[in-house]
Amino acid sequence: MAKQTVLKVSEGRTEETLKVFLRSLLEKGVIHSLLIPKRLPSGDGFVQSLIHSPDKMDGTSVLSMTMPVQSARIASNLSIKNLHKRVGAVLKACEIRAIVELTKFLQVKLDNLILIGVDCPGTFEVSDFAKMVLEGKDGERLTQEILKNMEKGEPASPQGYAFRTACQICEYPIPAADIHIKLFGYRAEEAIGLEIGEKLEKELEEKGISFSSEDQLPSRKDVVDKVVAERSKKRDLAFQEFRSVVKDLPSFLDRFSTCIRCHNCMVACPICYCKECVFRTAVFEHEGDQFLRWADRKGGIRMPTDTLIFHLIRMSHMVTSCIGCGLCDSACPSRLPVATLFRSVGDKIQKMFHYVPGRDVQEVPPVATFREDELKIESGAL
Amino acid sequence: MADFEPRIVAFLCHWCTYTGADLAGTTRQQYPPNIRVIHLMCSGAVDSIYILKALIDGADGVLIGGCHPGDCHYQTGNYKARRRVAILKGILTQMGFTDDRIWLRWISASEGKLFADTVTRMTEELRKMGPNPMKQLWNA
Amino acid sequence: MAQQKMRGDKSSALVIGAGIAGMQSALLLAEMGRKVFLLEQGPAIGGYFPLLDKTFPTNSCGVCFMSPTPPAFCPIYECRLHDNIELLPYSEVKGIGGKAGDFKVSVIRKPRFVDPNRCTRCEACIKVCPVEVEREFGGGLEKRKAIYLPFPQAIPHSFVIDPETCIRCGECVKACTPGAIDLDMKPQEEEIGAGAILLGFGFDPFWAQKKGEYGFGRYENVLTSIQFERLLSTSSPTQGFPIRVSDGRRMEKIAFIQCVGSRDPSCGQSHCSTICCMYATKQAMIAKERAPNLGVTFFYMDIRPMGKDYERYYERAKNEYGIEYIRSAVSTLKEIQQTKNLRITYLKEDGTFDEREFDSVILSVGFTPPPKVRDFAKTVGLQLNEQGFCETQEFQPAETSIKGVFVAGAFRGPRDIPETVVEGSSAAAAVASFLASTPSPASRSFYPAEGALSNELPKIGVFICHCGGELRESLAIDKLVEETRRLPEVSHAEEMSLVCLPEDLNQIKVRIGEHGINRLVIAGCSHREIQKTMEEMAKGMGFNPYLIEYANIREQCAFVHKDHPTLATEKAMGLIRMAVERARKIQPIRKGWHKIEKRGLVVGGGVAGMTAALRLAEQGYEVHLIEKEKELGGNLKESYYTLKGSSPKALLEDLIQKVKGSPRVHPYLQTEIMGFQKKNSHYQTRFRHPGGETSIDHGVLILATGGKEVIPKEYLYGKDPRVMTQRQLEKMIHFKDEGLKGLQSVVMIQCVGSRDEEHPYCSRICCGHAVKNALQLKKQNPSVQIYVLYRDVRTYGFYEMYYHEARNKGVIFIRYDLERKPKVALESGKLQVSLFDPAMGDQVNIPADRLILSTGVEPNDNRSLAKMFDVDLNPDGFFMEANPKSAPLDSVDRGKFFCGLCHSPNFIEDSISQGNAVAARALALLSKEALEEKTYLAYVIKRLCCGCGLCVATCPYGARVINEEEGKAEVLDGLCQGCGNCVVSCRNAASQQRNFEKGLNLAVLNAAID
Repeated sequence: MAKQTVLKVSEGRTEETLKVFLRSLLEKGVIHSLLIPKRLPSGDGFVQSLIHSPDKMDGTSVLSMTMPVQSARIASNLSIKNLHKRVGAVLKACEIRAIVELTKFLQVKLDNLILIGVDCPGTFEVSDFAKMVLEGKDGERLTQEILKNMEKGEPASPQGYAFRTACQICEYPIPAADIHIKLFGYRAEEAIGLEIGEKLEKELEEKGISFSSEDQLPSRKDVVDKVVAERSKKRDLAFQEFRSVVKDLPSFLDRFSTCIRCHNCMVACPICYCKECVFRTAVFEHEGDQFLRWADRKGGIRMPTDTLIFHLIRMSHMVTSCIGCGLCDSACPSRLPVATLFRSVGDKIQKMFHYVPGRDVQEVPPVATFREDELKIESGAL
Repeated sequence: MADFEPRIVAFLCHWCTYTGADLAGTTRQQYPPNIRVIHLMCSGAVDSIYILKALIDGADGVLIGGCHPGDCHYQTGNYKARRRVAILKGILTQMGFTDDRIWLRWISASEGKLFADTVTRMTEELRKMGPNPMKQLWNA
Repeated sequence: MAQQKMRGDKSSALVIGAGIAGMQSALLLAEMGRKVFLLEQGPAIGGYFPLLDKTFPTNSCGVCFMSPTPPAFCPIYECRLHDNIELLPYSEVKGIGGKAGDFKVSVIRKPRFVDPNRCTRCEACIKVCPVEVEREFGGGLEKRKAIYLPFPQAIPHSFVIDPETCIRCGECVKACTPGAIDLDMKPQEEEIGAGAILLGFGFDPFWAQKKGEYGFGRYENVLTSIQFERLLSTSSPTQGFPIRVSDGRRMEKIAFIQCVGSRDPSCGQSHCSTICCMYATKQAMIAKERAPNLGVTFFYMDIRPMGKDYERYYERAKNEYGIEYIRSAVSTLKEIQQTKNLRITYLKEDGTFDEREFDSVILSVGFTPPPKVRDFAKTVGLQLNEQGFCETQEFQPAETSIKGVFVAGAFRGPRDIPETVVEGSSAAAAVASFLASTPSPASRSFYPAEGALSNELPKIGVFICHCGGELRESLAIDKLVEETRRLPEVSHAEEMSLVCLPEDLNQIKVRIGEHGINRLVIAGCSHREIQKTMEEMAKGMGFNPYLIEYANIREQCAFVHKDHPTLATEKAMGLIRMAVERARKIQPIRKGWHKIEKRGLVVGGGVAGMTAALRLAEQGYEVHLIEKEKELGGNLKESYYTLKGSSPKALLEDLIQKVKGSPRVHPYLQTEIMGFQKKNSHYQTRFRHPGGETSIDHGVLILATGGKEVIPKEYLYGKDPRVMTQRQLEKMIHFKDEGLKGLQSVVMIQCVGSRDEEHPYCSRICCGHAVKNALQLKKQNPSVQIYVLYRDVRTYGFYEMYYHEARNKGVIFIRYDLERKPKVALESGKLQVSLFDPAMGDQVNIPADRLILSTGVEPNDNRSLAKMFDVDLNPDGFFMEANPKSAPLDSVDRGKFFCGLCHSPNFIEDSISQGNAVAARALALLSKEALEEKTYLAYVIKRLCCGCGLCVATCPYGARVINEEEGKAEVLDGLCQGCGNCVVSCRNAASQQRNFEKGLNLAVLNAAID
C-alpha cells in the first residue's frame, strides 16, 4: 500500500517547496538524475531536461504549463537499453499513461524509472504559452491562479487563455505514479498531498526523507470528481460534435482533405513506437506502372497516395492504446482535429474490449490477445 | 445499376476455406464468377492493410475465410483474425463508413456448398449495395 | 492373373486396413524411416474418418485433424504424400506366408477399371453412365453411378468402377478423354515382403435389421446413426440440416435409441460399444445447432461418457442444449401410417410404461467385427475373442496371438478416435521394437543441385492446362494463352492438355530449357492436385520447387462457373495474372535442417513412464528417467490384480528389472526438476538428484507424472475403520485379510470424488474397480451380499461382461442421483446406508459391514511443472493435449508428450498403450538425423524491428523470442510452422514470411482487382 502524506508549503511558495523535495531525492542518491521541464533561455517555453547536479535545478518547473513533446518517448529512449541507474521523471498524467502502454510493448523498462506524477490542470499550446510570456501573463501569478482553480476544481481559462482541446476533454487528470504530487483540493500555498508508492516508501524513510502527517483530505475526492465530470461532459460533447461533422465517408474526406500526409501526427504520437512506419517502408513503395494503373482505374488519383489508408491503419495500430494526450493535434500543420478523431474512435474500440489504456501495466493490450468466447456473431461470422 | 457486377477479393486460409473452395469445384457447386481468391496460410495472416487496400483500390467486397473456431490448423489464428477484423470494422463504422463489405466467415474443408452459397449471397448483397464508394474516391 | 515380383523386405511393415488406427501406425512407422505398405480393401483409404464432419468433445471439424506436426492435418492426405508409404488400395490379403520377421504376404489388387494416374475426376464418365445405385458412403442415403468417386476427398483421388453393377456398356470409355478407363482390367496378384504385419481391420456398424423390432429398413424415418451422421455432414445433400427421409420436411422431434446391438446378448452383442453415447450426443448437439427448435430425446440404460472431457460434454448437452435423456428400455416402436411418424413405448425406471411420438428415430448402432475377419483369422490362425474381435493380452495391447502380427484400433474392440490414435501409435512402437534388429536401409532420393536463381531476372513460363479438353467447355483457353503472353516478365505461355501426365511434364521440361524459364506458373487444377507432381519434376531437374505458382482455373473457376463462359474466362485470366504477379516476386527457398538431439527425458517412473523409456531405449536412444519418489513404480505398486485377471505385480517387477537392466535407461530417484530451456531444435533440462545436479540436452520430453486416488471427504471416511476405498479393499482381498472374514453385507458407493462439483469429470476406472472387487469378494465369500450404489454403470467395452457376471452372481446395483446421494449413518455402532431407490420408488436402508468408496482419480499437482515446461493444464489439472483427436498425447510444442494418469484417468492397460504411443511419437522425431524446416518461414528485418514483442505474444509455437541483447525479435527456424500470424501482428513489416511478404501480397491483390 502506498503511503499518503502531506508536504507543508513554506512561505506560500509551492513550486519551491516541491523543488526542495525533488532536490533531496538527488542529494540523497534516491535517483541519479531527474527528468524535469526546464525553462528555455529565451524564457518563452519549457523543455524536458535531465538534471544530475542539484545545483542545476534553476529554471526547472514541476508545474510547467506546456507539453512540447510526450515524455513517454523520452522515457523510452532513456530506459530501453542499459539504464543502470535510477532516473526520476516529472510527468503529466497522460505521459505516465503513455509510459504504461509503452511498457506493455517493451518500449519502456520501468526498473530504473521513478515516475513522479503531478495532478494535471491542463496544458497550453506551446505557441499560446509563448504569447502569454510575451504579454507577461506567465510566472507566479499564473501559477497562483491555476493552483487556486485546482483547489476548487473550477474549470479555467487562466489569464484568458484556454488549455489545449485534448486537456479540456481529458478525464484522467490524476496520475498513477511512484511519487504522486496531489494538488486538486489542496490549498497549495499551505500544503499539498504527496503519495509515496511501495517502490520508494521504505527507502525514503531509510534515507531520512520523512513526512510529518498522514494525509486526510476528504474534500479532495469531490473536487476530483467534479473536474472529471466536467471534462467528461466536454469530451462527450466533443465526440458528438465530431460525429455530426464526420458522419460518412465523403464528410470525413472533406474534413480531412487538407491532410498533406506529412506523418506529423504519427511522429508526435507516443504510442506510435515503430522505428520506421510501415508507410515509409518498401511495402508502400509502388512501381511507377502501379500508379498509372490506379489512375487508369479511377480516372485520376490524389498524389501522394495512401492518405486515407494511412490514417485507418495507423488507427488500427494505436487506437486501442490512445491515451488522448492530443499531441497529434498540436503537431498537425493543417490544424485537423486528429486528436478528437483518434479519441472518439479509440473510445469505442477500447470499450469493445473493456480496455482502459494506461491503467495498469499488467493488462494485455487488445491487439496482443484474444478470447475464444468473444465476438460471437450469428453463424459465426463478423 | 442493373448491370453492376461487384468484384470480391477473398483471402482464404490454406487448410480450411481454400480446401472448401476446392471442394465446391470438385462437387460442381455453381456460384458467380465475381470472386478472386488470394491464398494465405492462415486467416490470422490477413493484414488489415490488405482489406483496406482492396476496398480503396477497387474491390466492392472483401471475404476472409478461415477455419471454424477451435479448428485452426495453427491453433488460434482464426481468433486473432476475428479480433483484427472486429477492430477494423469498429474503426470504419466509427468514421461513418459501412462495414458490411467486409465478410469474415468460417468455412471448413468439407463445406464446399457453404462456400458457394456464401459467395453467391455476398455477390447478391453487393449487387444490391451498388459500387463501393471508397473505390471511386480519387482523393482517398 | 498376372503375378509380379515381390516388393518389400524384412525391414518393411505391412499395415492391413487403412482406417484411423492403420493410418496412424503407417504414418509413424514411415516417419521412423520404415517402408510401409498400407493395404485397404476398399477403393479409398480413411475408414470411417471421412464420414465424420464434426467430432466430440470439441465439436470441431473432423475432415482434417488440425496439427502441424506429422502425422498432421489430414492423415489420409499425409498417407498419400509420404515417401515411405505405398498405398495398396482396393486390395485383399490372400494368404500370409513366411514367418515372423520375414513374412511373405500374397495380395490381390482388385481391378479399379480406372487408372488413378490418368483419371482427372472431370466427371465426363458420370454424365454418361446409365447405372444408378445406392452410395455405400453414409449408409446408402444417396445415389451414385456404377463409375464413381467413393466420396469427394477420396484418396486415391480417382474414380472406380463397381463391377457388381456395371453393365459394361462402354459409354464411359468413349467419354474419357485421358483414356483412363479400361474395362478389361484384371486382378493382379503380388507378393509383399514384410518383417511385421499390423492389423487395423476396424469394425462394422451393427446391422440394424437384426433388431427387427425397431423397423429399420421398413420404416422410412428410422435411421441408423451412420446415416444420421451423414445427414448432419455439411457436405451432405441437405448441407447438414436434419431433414426427414420420408417427406423432406424438417425434423422437429427425434429420438435416439441407444445400445442397438450393444449390451445385448440376444443378438450376440454382449459388449458395450463404448462410443455410442458420445457420438449420439454429438449428433444430437449438432442437429440442435442446425435446427434450434428440434426436440431430442434419448432412450438409454446407462450413459457412458468416460473419456477425457466427455462428462462436461454430456452435461452441456443436457443443460445447454436441452437434450432429454430418459433412462428406460424401449419396448415397442411402431410407424403411424398416415404421418410416417413413429410411436415409441418404453418401460421407465419405476416399472411403468409410457409412450411418445417422434418424426424420426435414430438407432445408435454398436460395433461388430467386420464379418470377413472370421475367415481371415481361420486362414492365418489368428485368435479372436468371444465377440469376434482380436484377442490380446491385457498388458501387451498391441500383440496378437501370432508372433510378428500386431493389432490396433477397433479391431481389438470398440473404442473412440483418441484411443484409436493412441493405439495406432502404440502398435507402431510395438512393430518398431519387433523390427529393431532389422534396420531399414537408408533411402534418400538424390536430386541434382539447383541452379542459382536469386540474381536472375524472372523469366516466367506459363502452362495453361485444359484438362483433356474439359476446361474448354467454360474457358476460352486460346484467349488465355494469348493474353498471358503479354503479361510482364512472361517469356513463354503455352496450352497443355494434361500437365499431370508424363507426356506433358516432359514438354514442360523441354520448354524450361528452350526459354531459360526460371519461374513456372501452372494454370489448371488446384495446387492440391498437382503440386506434388510438379515439385518432383522440379527437384529432378534442379529447379527450385518453390518457384512454381499455381492458378486454380479448374476447381475454383471452370468447374464452378459453367454458365458464364465469358466471365469465367475473364476470371481465369485474373487468376493467371495473380499467379504471374506472385511468380515475379517470389524467391527460391532452400529449407534448412535442424539437428535432432537423439536423447529422451521422461519425467515420472510409473508404468507409463517406464514403458515409454524402455521403448525408446530398445531403439537405441539414451533415456533419462526422472522419479521424485524413492523407488520406481508409481501407482502400480498399490495394484494387486486386474479385472481381466493379469498380475500388476509381475508387470511391475518386469518393468523395473528391464529398466535396471537397460544400458540406455538412466533412472534418477528422489529427483527434482530445476530448470528447463527451449532451444532451436531441442530442449535442455536441469535436475537435482541425490548425486548432484545434472543438465541434459534432449530432443523429446515425456511427462508421465501420474495421478492419485481422491481422498474422500464424506461417508464417514477416516472416521470409521469400516469405511475404506476400493484400493484399500483390494489390498485386503489380496492378502486375504482377516478383517474380511464372515462379512454379510458390503456396500460400495460409486463416483466418490468423480462427476461432482470439485471433480467434474468421470474417473473411468472406478466402475471397473467396483465390479472387480465385488467379484473377488464373492469368490472368497459367496454368501456376502454386495450392493453397488451407482449413478451410471460405466463398464465400457468388454468390461461390460464382468458387469453382467457380477449381476449374475447376485451383486445388487442400485442407482442414485447426485441430488439424492446415499446417506451413511452410525446406528448403535452399525453402519447404515440409506438412499432412494428409483426402481422401488422408495427409500431403502442397507446395513453395511463394510462401506467401500469408489474414489476417483486426480492428477498430481502439476502446476509448477507445467509452468516450467511451458505446457498447459486443463481445468481439472491434467495436462492438455494439442488436439483431443489427432494429437491426444502431444503438446502444441513439438517433442513434448504426456502419458498415463497425468493425461487422464486410465486403466493400467491404457497407460501401457499411452506409454508405447508417446514412445512412437517420440521415435518419429528421434529416428531422424535432422528435421527439415517448414517452407514458408517467418523472418525478421532487424533494421525495422522495435522489439515490441507482439510477434512473441502471437506465435502459438514459441518460435519467437526477443534477443534481449539486441532488443529485437528472432525466429527459431526449427520451431516456426509458417502460419504468418506474426507477420500481421507486426505493425511495420519488420516481421515477414518468405514468399508471403506484405509487399508481395499487395502486388497480388492489385492483380486481383485489375
